[in-house]
Amino acid sequence: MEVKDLISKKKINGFAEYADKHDIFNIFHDMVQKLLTKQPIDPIEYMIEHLQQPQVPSIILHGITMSNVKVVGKILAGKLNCEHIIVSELIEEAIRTKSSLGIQAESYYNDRNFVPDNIVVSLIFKKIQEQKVAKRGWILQGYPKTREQALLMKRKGIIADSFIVLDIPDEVINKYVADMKYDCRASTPYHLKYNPPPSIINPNNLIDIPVEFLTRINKKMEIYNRNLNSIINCFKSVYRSYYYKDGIYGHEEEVANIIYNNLGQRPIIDNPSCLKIAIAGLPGSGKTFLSEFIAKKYGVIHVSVENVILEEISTNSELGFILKTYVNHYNKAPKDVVLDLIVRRLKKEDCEQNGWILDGYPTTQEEIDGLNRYDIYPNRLIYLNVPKETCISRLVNRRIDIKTGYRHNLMNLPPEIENIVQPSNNNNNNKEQNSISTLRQQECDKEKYVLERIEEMKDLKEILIKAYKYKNRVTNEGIMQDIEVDGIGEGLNPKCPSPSMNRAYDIIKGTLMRPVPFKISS
Amino acid sequence: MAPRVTVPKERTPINYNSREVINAKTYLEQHKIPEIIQQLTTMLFYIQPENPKKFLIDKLIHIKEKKLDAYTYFTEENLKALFKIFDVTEKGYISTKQYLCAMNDIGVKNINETPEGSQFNAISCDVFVKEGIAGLNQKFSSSS
Repeated sequence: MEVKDLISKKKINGFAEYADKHDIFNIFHDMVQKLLTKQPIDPIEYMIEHLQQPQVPSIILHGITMSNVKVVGKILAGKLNCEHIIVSELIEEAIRTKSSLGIQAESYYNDRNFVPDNIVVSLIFKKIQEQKVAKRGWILQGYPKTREQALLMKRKGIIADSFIVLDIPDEVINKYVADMKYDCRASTPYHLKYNPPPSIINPNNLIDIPVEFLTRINKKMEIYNRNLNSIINCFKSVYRSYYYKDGIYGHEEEVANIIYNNLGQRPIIDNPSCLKIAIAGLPGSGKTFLSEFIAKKYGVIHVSVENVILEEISTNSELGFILKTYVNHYNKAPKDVVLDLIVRRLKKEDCEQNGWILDGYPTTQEEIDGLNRYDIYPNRLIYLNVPKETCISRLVNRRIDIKTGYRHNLMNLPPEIENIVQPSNNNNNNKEQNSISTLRQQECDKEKYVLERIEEMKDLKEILIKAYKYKNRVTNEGIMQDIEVDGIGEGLNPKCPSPSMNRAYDIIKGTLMRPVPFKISS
Repeated sequence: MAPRVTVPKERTPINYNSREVINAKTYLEQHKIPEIIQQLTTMLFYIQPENPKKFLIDKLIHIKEKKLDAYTYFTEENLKALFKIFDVTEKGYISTKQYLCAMNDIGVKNINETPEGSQFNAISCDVFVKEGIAGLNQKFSSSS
């Protein structure tokens, strides 16, 4: 006999819910990770310090020379209200103020040699220990440039929780540099469009870029490219790259915004968890589509209003008989009956063992209260951000094959088949035509009902945010996150790089591999 | 303009014989980190404080100031909390069966099957904690 047989099941579930709610695994995971990197002599002291520290950003921003990545860094630091550390400026400042490290660096710097790694790393370390930097966090740029430097930083205890690479093709940089002009007196290059000189300088006094400058740039690019992959390897678990095939000149603000919005993401870790997911969104946003995939891939039980009603009907019970009238309008079934069916399903042995994904429920405050009454709490809420128009077009184009029960969407079928949607009366030997011609539209997918269904749900997101909350860095509570699944499968959205439905699978897999991301509030 | 975003898809396999890993293992064993983490996690589950970070900070500061041995202190606390979980009606006693089951589960090897009070099938909290600590210390002293 084990202890768990003597403690009530409710209490054990309570342990799991508490752990999920307060993100206990990640608290310890982060702490042990830092403990192992630093290996302090007094671990208790270090643990106290670590737990007391507020969560501030510590980002390394990496990009090729002349790509304007510094501008992005500055904007991002402004948004996050953290320190923007540019290593070359850090060295220059140390030399100017004649600090002890600065004096050491001076001789190397003046010879145009690179300052030794240990001096640079010490400078960075000292900077991030400064109270105003440690309190607000930092974005580091211009370092590390090689794998050895990256490892040295880690050994010294400089740990970044994000390593962001702006990936821009060499040709873009070469073109930019070719268009540049040079001011001989100040030895400063300018680009008339994207990095113009101050007004006191007459553009006509600028000359074309001298050859030595070009050579230096090319050498920097060569060193960057040679070292890129080995540096990325040092930051594998926190690495993220953004590829811009035309460069970022002129849209640095937009780039900073995208990076900012993705910062809440956390690295992939293998924590043991029982998935209790709720997936929500407007009708037609793809909830059932993704739920079926998740159920198959992760072995969780797919529970939706539709499923529980159909299951009840199939038991030939009295209740099932009454529910038959709601088969085409699930949202009109009596609420208390639906709540009862869902709760009973979720409390069954297979759901408790394998986890569950709750599809399209709850949608109103009463339903949320109902679930709370029975102690049913999901540990993740995934909200599918799809605009109304896409939902409407997905719904009206939905067809069900009455032979197989498989759900199709006209937007994904080959165009010539769209015209063969009428039922075929003649005995057609063409198998393909036969199966397609058995497509029917559900009653609730007809246009008038669709508009009604979507209108009913207009407050859905607000209700869910209030009840389940986005994840907050300060309190660590909250289980909700948004994911963007517009323009997938329809091929309608020109912004979406890969319109195939498989893209949705990739997005959901990536989402579930990671803990719930923090919502960065502006 | 939407960028193409890349994130790593696989994790590099860990070489368990590398210097860093052996180094890390030694550090963990030397400072009994896994035991302390386990104790802290157990405490969090039993007590379920509203603010877990603050709770952990308070506990750690307490043992630092009193210069207590982290492992023993947390073991006592956890045994007391475990006792409370069994003693649902707060009688102040648990049955011998519950005691044996708990000792087995926390990993005591040579369980004392007749602790004080077992003849009445009533093990008190103090006896429970005492036997627990004795049993667990045995585990440490008998290991090489």
